[in-house]
Amino acid sequence: MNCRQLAEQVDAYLDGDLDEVGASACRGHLRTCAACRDLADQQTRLRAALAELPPAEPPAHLWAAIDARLGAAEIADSRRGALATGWSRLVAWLRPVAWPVAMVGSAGAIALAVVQLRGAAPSQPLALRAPVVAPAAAAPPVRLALRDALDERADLEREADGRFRQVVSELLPLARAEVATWAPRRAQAFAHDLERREQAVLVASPGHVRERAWHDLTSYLERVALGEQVAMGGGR
Amino acid sequence: MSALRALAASALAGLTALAAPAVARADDGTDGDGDGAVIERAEFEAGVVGRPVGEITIDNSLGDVRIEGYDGSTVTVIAVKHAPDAASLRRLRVESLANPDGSVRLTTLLTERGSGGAERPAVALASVRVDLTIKVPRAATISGRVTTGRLEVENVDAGADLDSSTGPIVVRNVAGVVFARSLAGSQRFEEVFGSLDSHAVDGDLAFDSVRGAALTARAYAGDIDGRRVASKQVRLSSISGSIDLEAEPQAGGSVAVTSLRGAVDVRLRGAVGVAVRARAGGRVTLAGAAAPPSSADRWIEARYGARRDRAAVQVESRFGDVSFALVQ
Repeated sequence: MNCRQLAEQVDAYLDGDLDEVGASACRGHLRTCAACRDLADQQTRLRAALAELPPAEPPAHLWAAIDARLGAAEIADSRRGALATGWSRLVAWLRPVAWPVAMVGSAGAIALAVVQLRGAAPSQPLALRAPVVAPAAAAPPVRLALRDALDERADLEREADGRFRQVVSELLPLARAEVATWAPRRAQAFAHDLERREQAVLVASPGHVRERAWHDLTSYLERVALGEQVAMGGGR
Repeated sequence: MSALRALAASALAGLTALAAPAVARADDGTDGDGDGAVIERAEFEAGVVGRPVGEITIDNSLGDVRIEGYDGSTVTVIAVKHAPDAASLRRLRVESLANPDGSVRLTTLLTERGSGGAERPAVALASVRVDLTIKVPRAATISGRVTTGRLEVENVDAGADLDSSTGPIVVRNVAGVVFARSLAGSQRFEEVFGSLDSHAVDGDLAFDSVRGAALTARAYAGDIDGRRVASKQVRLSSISGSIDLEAEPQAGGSVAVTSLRGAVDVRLRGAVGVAVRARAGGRVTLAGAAAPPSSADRWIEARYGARRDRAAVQVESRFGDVSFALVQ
């Protein structure tokens, strides 16, 4: 991921709308790029400030802004695949019907209908959509789905688990190929030691304790895979 | 009853240590670049008065840890907190717990958003951090853990037990047993006088001026680089990384260097004779010895120097190249 891609996806990332792979890519880039971290920090502060605002009446000029935004989105749609293009056609077909209704109906109801017909593009900031969707009088305050550092830390722990799991899945066939050349009794001891180490990973609490258990398991499998003399039943 | 008394003593000791930050020098304010971010700096002592510090455990998942041994007897901590605003800064905590047995534990915490009765705004992990600089008595045993931050230890004499997930580990001028683990963080060791056991999954491992009973280093995907290694038993291995070792074998000692897929390059210096055996799936280069064509399941052997107390040397790469040389 580069800075331009991050800038495009930072809204969706902060909204929690990206899938795990996309979110991981964003996090990875933010770790290494101070400029993008600043951008994300600014967005975070902006969202926190917006979250504190009370619900607002849709201003009169909002529809024009939405229409302009829809126009821009249609241009973007034209660059997408057949499914997205078909969706845009449906919106275009319905818009002449929607306009007369807009002239006689309430502004809030029309905006709701069009936004729903248009479909919610994940990259659109929630802060812009929400006041339109919610009738002002009855709307509860919009809470931004901003991820907290504690959630991000849990993500990091899951990523670490995922990487260790991947390494173990790569090492196991190598280790088993080596064990296939061993005497049955020694092979049995390997199965026992492997199970013990896997159990240690499963019961370990997240964080450093579990990572230490993963290290013990991967290190053991590395030794077996490389044909080193492994002390069965031991290990730190 | 004695257990109850011990518990009470422990709690009192903990409170003593926790009270220290309240009287410590603190300095907080914005970071000066106009973005509203705030920094708080606090300096305090940890430990039980009159009790020598035995083991100190530092667990900082929010930033860097730097541990420096010195000739004093107390533990001095400088904690610097960074946050985008004052509300987020209040979620960052440094806890110090001292036990009657002389052990000290320092932990950093990011509290829940709703803790303390106030719902605070969400904050990005990249925008908060706590960095710790800790001066410890040289004789203290160190346990240090970081997640993404840098973990640095220097000038201690009783070894260290170190963990990192993605942050680098740097160890300098340390005696005693050193044990280090990282997932993606690199590890660098300079002037380590004692046994050293190091394992990384994706991080690189580097050693310079290491001597002691044993050096064991394993990497899954990272590379291993050793310079001036003089441990008696040396065992380096990797699955897909390459290994480059320049070492001084010890009389009666051993050097075993193995990679599954990476290249292995070993250069030994010193007056001790060595008995070398090597094999590789790729090419084997044994300097000064007539090496016949190799294969992954066939060892090539050579002997160099004095016969007495020869060091045993084994270099191997199942799918890569291997080279060995004696250098002056």
